[in-house]
Amino acid sequence: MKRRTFLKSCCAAAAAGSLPGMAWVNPLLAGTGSGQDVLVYLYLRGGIDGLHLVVPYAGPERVAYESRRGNMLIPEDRLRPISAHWALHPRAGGGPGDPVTSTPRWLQRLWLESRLAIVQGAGMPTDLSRSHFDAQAWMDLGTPGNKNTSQGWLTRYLQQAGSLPPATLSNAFGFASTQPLALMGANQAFTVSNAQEFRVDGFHWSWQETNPDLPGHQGAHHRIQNLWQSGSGPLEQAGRLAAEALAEMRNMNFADYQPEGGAQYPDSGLGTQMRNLAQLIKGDSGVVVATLDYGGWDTHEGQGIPNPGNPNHFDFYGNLVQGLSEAVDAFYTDLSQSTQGNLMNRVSIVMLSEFGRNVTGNQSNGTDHGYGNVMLALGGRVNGGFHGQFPGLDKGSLFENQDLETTVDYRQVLAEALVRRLGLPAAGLEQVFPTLDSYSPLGVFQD
Amino acid sequence: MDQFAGGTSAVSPAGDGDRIFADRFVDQTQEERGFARRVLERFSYGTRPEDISHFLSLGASSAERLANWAAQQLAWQSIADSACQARIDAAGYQTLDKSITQLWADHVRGSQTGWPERYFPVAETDAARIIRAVYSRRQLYEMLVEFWHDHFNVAGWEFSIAPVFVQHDRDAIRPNALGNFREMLEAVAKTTAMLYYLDNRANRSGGYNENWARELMELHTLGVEVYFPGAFHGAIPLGDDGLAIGYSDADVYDVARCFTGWTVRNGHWQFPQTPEYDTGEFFYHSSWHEGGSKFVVGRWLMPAGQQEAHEVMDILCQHRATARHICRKLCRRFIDDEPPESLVESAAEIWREQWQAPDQIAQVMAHIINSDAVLQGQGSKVRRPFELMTSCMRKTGAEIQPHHYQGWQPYGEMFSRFQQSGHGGFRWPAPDGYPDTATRWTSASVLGQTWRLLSRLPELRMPNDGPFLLSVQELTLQGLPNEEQHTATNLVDWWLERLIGASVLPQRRLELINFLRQNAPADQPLNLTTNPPYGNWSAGNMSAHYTPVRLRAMVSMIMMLPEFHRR
Repeated sequence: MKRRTFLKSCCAAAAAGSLPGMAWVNPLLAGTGSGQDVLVYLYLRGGIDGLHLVVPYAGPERVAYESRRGNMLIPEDRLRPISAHWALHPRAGGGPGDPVTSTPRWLQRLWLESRLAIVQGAGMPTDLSRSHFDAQAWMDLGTPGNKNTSQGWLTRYLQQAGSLPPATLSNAFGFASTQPLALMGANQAFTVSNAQEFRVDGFHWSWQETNPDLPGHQGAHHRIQNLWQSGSGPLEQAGRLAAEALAEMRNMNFADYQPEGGAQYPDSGLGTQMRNLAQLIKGDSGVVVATLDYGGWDTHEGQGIPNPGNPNHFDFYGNLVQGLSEAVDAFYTDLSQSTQGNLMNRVSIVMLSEFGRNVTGNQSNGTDHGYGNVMLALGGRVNGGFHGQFPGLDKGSLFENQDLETTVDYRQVLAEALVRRLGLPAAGLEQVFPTLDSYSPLGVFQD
Repeated sequence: MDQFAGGTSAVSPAGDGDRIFADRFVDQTQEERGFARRVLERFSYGTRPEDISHFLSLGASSAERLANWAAQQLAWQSIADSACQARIDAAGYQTLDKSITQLWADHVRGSQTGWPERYFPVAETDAARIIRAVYSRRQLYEMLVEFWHDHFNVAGWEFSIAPVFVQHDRDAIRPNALGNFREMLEAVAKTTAMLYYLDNRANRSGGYNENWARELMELHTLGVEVYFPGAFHGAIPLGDDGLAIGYSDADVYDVARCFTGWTVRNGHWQFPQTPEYDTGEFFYHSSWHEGGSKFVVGRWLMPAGQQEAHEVMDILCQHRATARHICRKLCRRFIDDEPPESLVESAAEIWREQWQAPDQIAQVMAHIINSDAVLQGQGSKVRRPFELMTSCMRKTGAEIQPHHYQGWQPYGEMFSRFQQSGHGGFRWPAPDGYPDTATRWTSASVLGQTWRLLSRLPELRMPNDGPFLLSVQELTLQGLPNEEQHTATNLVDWWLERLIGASVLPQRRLELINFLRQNAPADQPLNLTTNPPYGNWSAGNMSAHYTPVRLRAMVSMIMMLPEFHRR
């Protein structure tokens, strides 16, 4: 695979904004419009209870839901209906103090704008594991049943992608503290848990940042590029790229970024990461794929039942839902309202989890590991609405009498995103998902 | 390519002197020191002046000293290491001496199953391995321990593995790291961690799980180089030893059948519901064993219960492909990413001839260390982040007692930054272990995060203005005791010698001197002793501005040099 040359794109940035780095400060000067689509792989670690997020609201599934859901049942009047038969958890559309009739926000707003797709019955129909570790590994590697694959599914996509846009840093960002499995084996992938933290910032403050009040003072980190000048071996070349990358990331000044469209990112790990990602996209950094994680969904105990309109009611699951909804909504608003145009027309977010949870709550007011689940997609070129097929809550439809069945292979949704949004020829799917039998798009994404 | 030829930075800052000329006429002592350092950098976690002195005392020629040093290090049990052990004892770790049944009782079944207590066994093993890398006198042995942890990788921090990880490290890897591979393999096959990680605990008649069997052949023994996908039994040619030269999926399935019933006393519902079936130990559950004969790499195995797996391991351990596969990895670890094939072959011969010797691995390592490749200084390796961190600690006289879960300062921050390098202890998820080639460790992401760690190391100190982990100030004042010696040039050269000990490019050295001297002449002493450890604000004169801090920053910069990244 070709290693990106930071120097080359440095020059491009200089041409756009007269000084490298200036381009990042003023969004008007950036966004020369590579037009490259971006796929965001947002993983809900821990096994989100999809039946608690997208809830039967009326009709036969509601009847079955009420008969089987046990202590995890959410009453109709605490839900935010989105169709005749389905509703969202109230915190996907409002805060804890907001009644369900308040103006829809976040995910519910995006649903109303037909930008949110809900895929029912998603998961791994070919293989079963109720182990977080195994199931996550299988999905991230794109090889259900095999966690020993040496490359992640996104790594294999990058190899199949043909020409990728020039990258300031990398075409692939993993927002994580260690390299995500989906990008395993991708040497050029860039792993940062927080873009603000990709900097050599460990020196004592007195010699860390350049102090403009002191004539001649210069922050120690400025020296690193000089230390790696000269020398022609592969190590020196790699070091110079790293030093360039550090300088570029500092120039991007992630801390002072101003979102557009009044977007308000939540003050959370996910919020920060999505804000960093929006900045990378606006800055034409060449990012094509990004992975993010949002965990905490392993709700074996005290999962929580919403009580909208009561600001002091504690709802563990609801807090997670709101944290997710706010972050993706801010990201959507920031990019769609950009002065560069509606950038969400070339950005798609896919949200998924390793498995759903038991239909019936357990003895600890929580839910145990299950099987089928919902999967979400969000973007300007997403066909909003329901996709796939709800597997059914009647006794005959349940998997092992306790879980939602899996009716949609999660790889079909990812494959469709690659083909329809990132322009991968369908023949390339054989490499990306070697054990996927055939490609059958659901129509989640527009061509 | 050889960064270590010629003199030290002080003698030959250009570092590109005429090799032939240097070989003939340079002071013999410099040449000998250079060789000692090169060997020690390659086969230890970092060279200190006392290590070089010791090496030089071991004989009359480089070859003799090398042979003696190797013999000493390979007889690792004869090296007294009580000081290192005392440090581990003093750290107060609670789980390192627990038996597997105690680990299971306490951290899987008992009162210490929550966070973080459940993770103490892996966390404390991780902390102890840093202490050992920095302080143990059995340096080569500790490097082999790390090698075998990669070879027999398990995801140490995984929920089911973390509470029993101590056993895998202490009872399988460490006793055999320089011993006999066949013994290590069987010990590994029986650790609770491995039985969980590669799922053999669930491998039973009528419900095969091939995960262990496949990785056993692909990664642990024969190697994927001799995998013949889809070949039928009997379709792979036989070698001169009568064994098939490789393996196929059919072999994987039959090996899996041989290992059926190798499981864990984990209270499985099919076991008798009595306490002795819930101890966390390995056991062979005969009613889960698949009957019938099996066919493995060209040889029939008659039904023999538990013995079948022993026979499989015997076959795999004496196989030519195993010898080559593992010796190539060893040579890659210690010589070069692309090691000389002749050395791989000669090492593999010894490996195979000595497959039953109790010191098989030590014999192979002796061959590799005393090879021409080492004597002639061939090859180049890039330090992985763990080697960078521990080398910094070793060379700066660090005083460390790492703990996970005991606050942010200093070890929470140290581990956080270290893990972001992508090389956190026992965190590699896949069974192939952390990679061992430079390309994997020189991406912008890895290098950037590693430098972020290195920029912090000299500033880390114990809480409440306690001592710094690295003894930068103390070593400086010991090495250069007179204040008039504290010129930027002297300080840079002294630390270059201490940390790298070989020539660095002159412009890099100049860059370091310019940073340290600021507006002072390079030969004017700097004030390191007023108001340590930080010094004073000095707006009008940068050379007096927080000078001890600037010294530590300069030491960090040496740690970030390309020359320091090679070993």
